[in-house]
Amino acid sequence: MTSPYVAIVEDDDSVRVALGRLCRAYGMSTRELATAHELVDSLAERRPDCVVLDLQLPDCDGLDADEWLRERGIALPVVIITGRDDTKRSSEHVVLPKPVDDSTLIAAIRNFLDRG
Amino acid sequence: MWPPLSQNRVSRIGWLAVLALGYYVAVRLGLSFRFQNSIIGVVWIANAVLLAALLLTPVARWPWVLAVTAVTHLAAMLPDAALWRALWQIGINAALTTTTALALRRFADLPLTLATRRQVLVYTVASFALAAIFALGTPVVVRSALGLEPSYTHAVAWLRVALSNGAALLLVTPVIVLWGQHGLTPLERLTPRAMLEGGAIVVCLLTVGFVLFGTGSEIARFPALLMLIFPPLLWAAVRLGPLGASTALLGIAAVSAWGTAGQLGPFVAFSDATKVLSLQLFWITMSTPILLMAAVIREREQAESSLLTLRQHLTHATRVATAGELSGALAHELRQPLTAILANAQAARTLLDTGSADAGELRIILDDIALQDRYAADVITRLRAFVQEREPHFEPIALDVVVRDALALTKVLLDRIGVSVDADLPPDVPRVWGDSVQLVQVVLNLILNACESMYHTPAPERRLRVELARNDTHFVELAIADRGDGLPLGAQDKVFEPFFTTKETGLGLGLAIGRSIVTAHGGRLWGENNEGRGATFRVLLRATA
Repeated sequence: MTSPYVAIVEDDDSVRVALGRLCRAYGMSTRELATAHELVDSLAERRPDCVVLDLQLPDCDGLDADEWLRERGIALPVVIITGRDDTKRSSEHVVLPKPVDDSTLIAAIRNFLDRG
Repeated sequence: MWPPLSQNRVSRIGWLAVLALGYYVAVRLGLSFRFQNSIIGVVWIANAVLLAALLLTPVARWPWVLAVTAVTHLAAMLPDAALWRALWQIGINAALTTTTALALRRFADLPLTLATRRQVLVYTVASFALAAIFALGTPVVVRSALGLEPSYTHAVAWLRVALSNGAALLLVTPVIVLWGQHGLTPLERLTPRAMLEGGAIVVCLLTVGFVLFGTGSEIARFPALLMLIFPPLLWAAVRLGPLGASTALLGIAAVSAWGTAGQLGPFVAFSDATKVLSLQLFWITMSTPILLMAAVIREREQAESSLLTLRQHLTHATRVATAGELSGALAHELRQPLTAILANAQAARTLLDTGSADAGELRIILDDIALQDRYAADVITRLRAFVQEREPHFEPIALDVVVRDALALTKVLLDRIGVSVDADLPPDVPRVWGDSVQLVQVVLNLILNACESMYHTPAPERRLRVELARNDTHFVELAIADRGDGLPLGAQDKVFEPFFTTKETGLGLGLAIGRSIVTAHGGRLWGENNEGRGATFRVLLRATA
């Protein structure tokens, strides 16, 4: 069985690198991306099994990016992480507040992987 | 001041000994300084010393003060005067001084500082009114009323005694009380510059005093010359406060008394009685306005200083309010390093648990943790420095650092709103003289205002241009240009008025405080609309070099 492939979209370098490390330590393979555009570009190459998406990206809102993908029929399992307090907008998403505990994050990702 | 109880009895006895000595000298001076044919002194300093001692001691100690001065009085007078007269005098003096001291305790808001107009007026009125009333009971006035003192009518005797006591209370008591309260600390606190000015005032006073009262009587032909005394006295009142003013007055009084006694100065052309009256009126008329002037200046200084304190509190309060506005963004800014630290630590732990850790990778992870920790600490330190309440501290400041600090504090907010910042901050711009925290506050407020004004601007056009440049003259100019709604037309300066606001939240104090800070730095802050969209705020500050 190949290891699950997780895309991490986060503009803050230190957070992106650290989350990548964490996912790899749990046996996943990762792709680290800084913007929503990089995510869209990367899809042609390989579609991730799950996306860890920061709510606040320099080029667009994480939820808008997700919506944009859905409108184009690209339904990806998305775990949203956020440093903001107002998370009420996204009841249909899994939204995790920063700083996020590994048990919570890995469980959320695995939840999608098991379903898929 | 009466020594505190913790000090030993010796110092208390020492204090009483000083009082006895001072009182003795005062009695002898009073007795010797009178013109021939007069048994009434020109100025009865002994009562001034006694009143000062009463004002400097708690009421419970007054019996000691009165006893010591009574014994001293007897010792000083008995060689020349009859026992009954000495006792009578001691009794009436004690009555005058204790009544005056009680009246002052009741009406003058002691301690005596002469720092308010009210206290100067109460002190002057109380000294003269009570001196006039108690003069009626002195031996010389009673006896002249009975026809037992052939050299005076009783009205003249009463006037002479009243003025002799009143002048002493006005001239001498304040000097003893004010110096007695402060000791030498006012002198120790003087800056070199203030000491130089004080020295210049003393020299002027002595020069004028000796010109007027140390030269021959021909000076009486130019009565206008007497006015020369006022410029240095006013100088002392304005610059040295009640303590300096009352000391200067006593100095001039002493010089004038010395000159007149030596048949010098403008008052010697007259008869002895007129001489005495002239001296007394001269002292009294110069004292009250000068003491009032010193009190007015001190009141004004105190009003200014409390206004300054109030403004500092307000500046700090608005800074705290600004930090409150930023708290959401700052929480986010702290969550980033905390997220990285937690993920790194848990990644390392998992690697160790699964046995797949290698030392090189762990080292990199630990370094990252340390780095992120320091970053978080910097955020807190910057915020702490910004909201701390402290005395303003002026020093040469690099404005590019100030702007960078303000941008760092607002970074997350700017990112969130999607404002792109175009900063031109050449490091070779001269430094300015200022308080770094207050200047960060000004710049931060301008940045926040710019952000708010771009609320209606389409996201890609939200741009902030920050430009720092040396002005042609000796000024440094910081310009912050936004692409927002601009200033209200025709009322571009109204935004600097307190409580003027176009925002839904906020007090409308940011720009008003900003302008008051810049003005206090000797600079200017103003805003103007751009030709295209938005407004530009400019801060002009004087360069240090």
